[in-house]
Amino acid sequence: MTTAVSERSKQGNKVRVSSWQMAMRLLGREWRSGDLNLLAWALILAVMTVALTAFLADRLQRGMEQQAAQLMGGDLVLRSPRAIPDDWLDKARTEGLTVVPTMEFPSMVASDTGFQLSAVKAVSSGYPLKGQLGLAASMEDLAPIDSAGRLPVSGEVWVEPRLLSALNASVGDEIEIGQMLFRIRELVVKEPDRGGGFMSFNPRALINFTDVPATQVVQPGSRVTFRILFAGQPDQIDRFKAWLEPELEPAHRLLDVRQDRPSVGTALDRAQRYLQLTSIGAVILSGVAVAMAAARFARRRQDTVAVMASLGHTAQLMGGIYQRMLLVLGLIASLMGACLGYVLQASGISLIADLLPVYLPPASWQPWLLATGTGLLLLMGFASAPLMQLKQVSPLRVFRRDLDMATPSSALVYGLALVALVLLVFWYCGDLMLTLWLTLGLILVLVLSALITLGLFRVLKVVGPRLPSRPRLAIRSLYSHKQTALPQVMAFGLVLMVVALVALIRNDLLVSWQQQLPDSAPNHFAINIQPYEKDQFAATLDKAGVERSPLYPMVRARLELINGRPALEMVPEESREYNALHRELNLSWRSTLPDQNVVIDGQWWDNESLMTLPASKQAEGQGDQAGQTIIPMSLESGMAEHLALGMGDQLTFNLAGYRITGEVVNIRRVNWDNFQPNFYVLTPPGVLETLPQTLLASFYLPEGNRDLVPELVRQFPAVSLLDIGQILAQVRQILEQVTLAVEVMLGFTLLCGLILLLAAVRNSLDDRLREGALYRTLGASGAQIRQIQMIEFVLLGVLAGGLALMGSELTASLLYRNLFELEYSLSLSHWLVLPVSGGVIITLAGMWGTRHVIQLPPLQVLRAG
Amino acid sequence: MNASASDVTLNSVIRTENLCRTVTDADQQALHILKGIDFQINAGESAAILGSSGAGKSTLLGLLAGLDQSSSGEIWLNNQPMSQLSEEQRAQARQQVGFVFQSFQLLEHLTALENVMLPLELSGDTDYQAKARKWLDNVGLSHRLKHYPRQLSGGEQQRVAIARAFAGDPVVLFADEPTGNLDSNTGQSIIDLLFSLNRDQGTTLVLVTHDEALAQRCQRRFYLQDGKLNEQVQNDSEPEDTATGGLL
Repeated sequence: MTTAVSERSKQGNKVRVSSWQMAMRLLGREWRSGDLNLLAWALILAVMTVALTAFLADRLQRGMEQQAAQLMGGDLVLRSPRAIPDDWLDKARTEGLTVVPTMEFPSMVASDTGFQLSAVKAVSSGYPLKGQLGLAASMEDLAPIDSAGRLPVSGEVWVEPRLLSALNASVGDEIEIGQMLFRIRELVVKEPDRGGGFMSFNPRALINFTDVPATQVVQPGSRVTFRILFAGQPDQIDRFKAWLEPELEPAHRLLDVRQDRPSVGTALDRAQRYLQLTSIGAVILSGVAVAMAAARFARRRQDTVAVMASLGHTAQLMGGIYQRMLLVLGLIASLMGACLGYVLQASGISLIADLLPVYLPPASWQPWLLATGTGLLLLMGFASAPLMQLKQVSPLRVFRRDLDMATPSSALVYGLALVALVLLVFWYCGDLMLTLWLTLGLILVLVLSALITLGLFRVLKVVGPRLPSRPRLAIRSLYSHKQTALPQVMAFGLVLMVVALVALIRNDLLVSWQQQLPDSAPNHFAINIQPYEKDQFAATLDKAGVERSPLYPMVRARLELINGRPALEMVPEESREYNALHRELNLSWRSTLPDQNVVIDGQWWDNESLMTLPASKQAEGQGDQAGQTIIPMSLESGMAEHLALGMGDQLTFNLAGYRITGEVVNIRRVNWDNFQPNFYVLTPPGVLETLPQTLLASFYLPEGNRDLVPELVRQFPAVSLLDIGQILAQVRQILEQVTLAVEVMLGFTLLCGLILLLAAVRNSLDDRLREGALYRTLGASGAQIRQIQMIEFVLLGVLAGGLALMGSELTASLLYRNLFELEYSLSLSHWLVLPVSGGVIITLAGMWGTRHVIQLPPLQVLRAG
Repeated sequence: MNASASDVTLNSVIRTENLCRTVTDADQQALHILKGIDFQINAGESAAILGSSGAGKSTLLGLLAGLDQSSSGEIWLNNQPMSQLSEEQRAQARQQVGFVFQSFQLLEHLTALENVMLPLELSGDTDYQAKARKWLDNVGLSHRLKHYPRQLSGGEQQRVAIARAFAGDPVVLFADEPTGNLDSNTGQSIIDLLFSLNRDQGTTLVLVTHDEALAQRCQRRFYLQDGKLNEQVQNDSEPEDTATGGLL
């Protein structure tokens, strides 16, 4: 833009000065005069806040994902029932990724003294890419020692201790896997990528990848799972993923941590959303600060523009120059803010490094872009409107200072702010849903709070005159300032709302994680308990004082027909490799809905409906071979989704020759995060009981009570015990990290909120100083002024607290279900705490911010005004 | 002419002794605005302080009214030594003082009535509304009660300020260039009003001006020059302020 300030460049030796040059000159002068400080600092603070949260969120998130990657053994895992084409692996290597192929298959393992079905895993050099393989010194000392990169060499097998118990063998003995003899060399007690879910119940035998052909176990048609582990930089992983995805066939599964570990995935998703939400909260707070500072600056520059306008330069031109000046300022402030944010997070993290569960990777370049971009967008959205109004200052103001510039229309101010906010929120989370919910929540809150505040002002106006002098004067000051008090209440309310929301969600997230994995979460599963030994098994656990689940009966059956046609034909093509179609599923029966299961379609059967079940169905269901009898069935929602099954579909299961047919009468959402036994298919009691069955239980064994395991193995040789303690420990560690991230972000949001409250109070300081001086001139004592101010701040705070309460409840009710999948309930304590804390915090911030009002000599203030 | 200690009369409303005010400028250099001022004004007197721009007239007025603190010396306002009073006590003392400013200093967000009510409410007067109405009526603004300052002309704003100053029933009224922002006709009517009310209320009036004609209407005239205050001795005992303004 080259609009000229000097229109008379042809005359004499005048030089044409562009608006940009003029803007730069003005910037220097304004900076020296100090009037620009508040706006500059508001912007620097805003960008710093955003940068700090962005850097922290980025690093914490990358830290969490790295940690979570250890649960998979790599950053990315490709699972396939068939060998992976070599060119895929070559492509990964050319992308700079490290590639480690592994392979898993079930095989009978035999020793001189016994045999046991085992889950054999063949690994190649480099395994595991993430996490550690832990070995035990002996059966007596099972504390994990890092394998330090060592792997079984050819002819060696490393086994889980329970395989040793089952085979009655010891380290150094020889065992047979297929056609090859292996010598037991090490005891494996910690395996980072132990099983996806709990399907691999059999004890582990770890061998070298090159030994697989010699075993001759893997033949065409054998049930084998290839797991290729990849590791590399996030951008390399992303590039490879993008290349690979179109190549994948239905049988392939490309897993990142979210899919591989649903429990961790949910926690990470929620944490990520929380971090996004806090960043967005910081942006909203910053926006409020920038808007207030810009309004103040514009107010104070009216005279300058009027004088320049009276000297022949249009207000239009001057307004334009100020806008350019602001843009330059925004750029400088954004860069400064980003640098400050970076330095703060770096020093902050180094201070608490010892407390962090893991090392945090350095931040990526993205937060830099995000922070500076945010600064500029904030400026455009939140500061443009007041500055645009400078273009409308009348030159007449030179004579009549009472000629104010037109107040920017609310639609313009809020509209621009809203557009900037929507853009920013979308940029932050790339999530249209989150953007929509937040925007909707904000609009609702803003409109409602404006209406409510204005209504309350009216009430105060009516009540005020009946009160004693100090509250009366405070109330009059509040409602007579309503044009500034309204945005102030809303700004305070917004700050409190953001802080309350961030705190509220933090509490509920932590509670949900705590519930997900309480200290006594079961760390052992016992399967294959025979009906004749169930009482004795339960008694043994009870006698040892072990906390256990009930013993759940289960019947193993294969899904054969869907609506009378072969299941494989009936499911969508992409689901044909779905695991549940190729293995036996565990069916069980329950009269009541299991804990943490939610029926999302249909109705759970109650006793009454069971009574009305035709007697023929109950009786004939048992052992019916013709598949004619229909029994009600409850289906897990994930399975229903994968196999495109719905209410009313008929499923026929084959139980070792018996066929039973059931109709889906309800679909359950199962919480897989809680490490409790869960079942894909449930029937009412009375239909499966007479079929061959085993029982399943989970129990919690404290660290000091591990001796019970060998005892159980000895007493119940047929029962398989699965120790999931390692997995639990890893998940807990991740949850701890996620918790820390959430705590750090909450603390930081609180700090930002407080700083912004003080900035907001400071924004009204000019007026308050002058009013205070006048009050004192009119004989008011300092104490009187302070009391009036205090009442005013208490009212402002309580109003803002009330609005924050309404806003946070409203937004939380929208966010909880839609974003965090948490149940939302009104918290009564919140209803008391928010208005009270709003009153206290804003009063304290206000009183501190305005303490100079009674300290400066009145004459000095009045002259300055 | 400086007042000597023996001249001090019991009915003095304002008295100063060796009053000094020093400020530091941008270069940290001391700037002596008032250099040892001694004078007294008695109850019911009207006094003008004259001087060129920047002579320190308004500073002196602010000190006399307890709006600022002296660097050294003492001021007795209604026989209370101001330098020995706490800010709270000075505020109490200011309740006996009225102030009229060149720039009116009305609170923009309050109506004319509310502006006048304010000092009455601050002093705990329960009859504040009736008194404020009466005073606005006295200054001819009973039809402008609900108007905000920006809706009033300069003259009207100054009248509100005068009503506010008198509403608290002050012992002393300080006026700082009360006509400085007004045209001559309006200024004249404001001055007439001020003197008339002052006479009716028996208030002591201290005004700062550089307008000789206005100063002539006061009983006593002081000149502030180079930080020193000198009184111009009147030849005729009657000030020119015998004519009442045409307003009332």
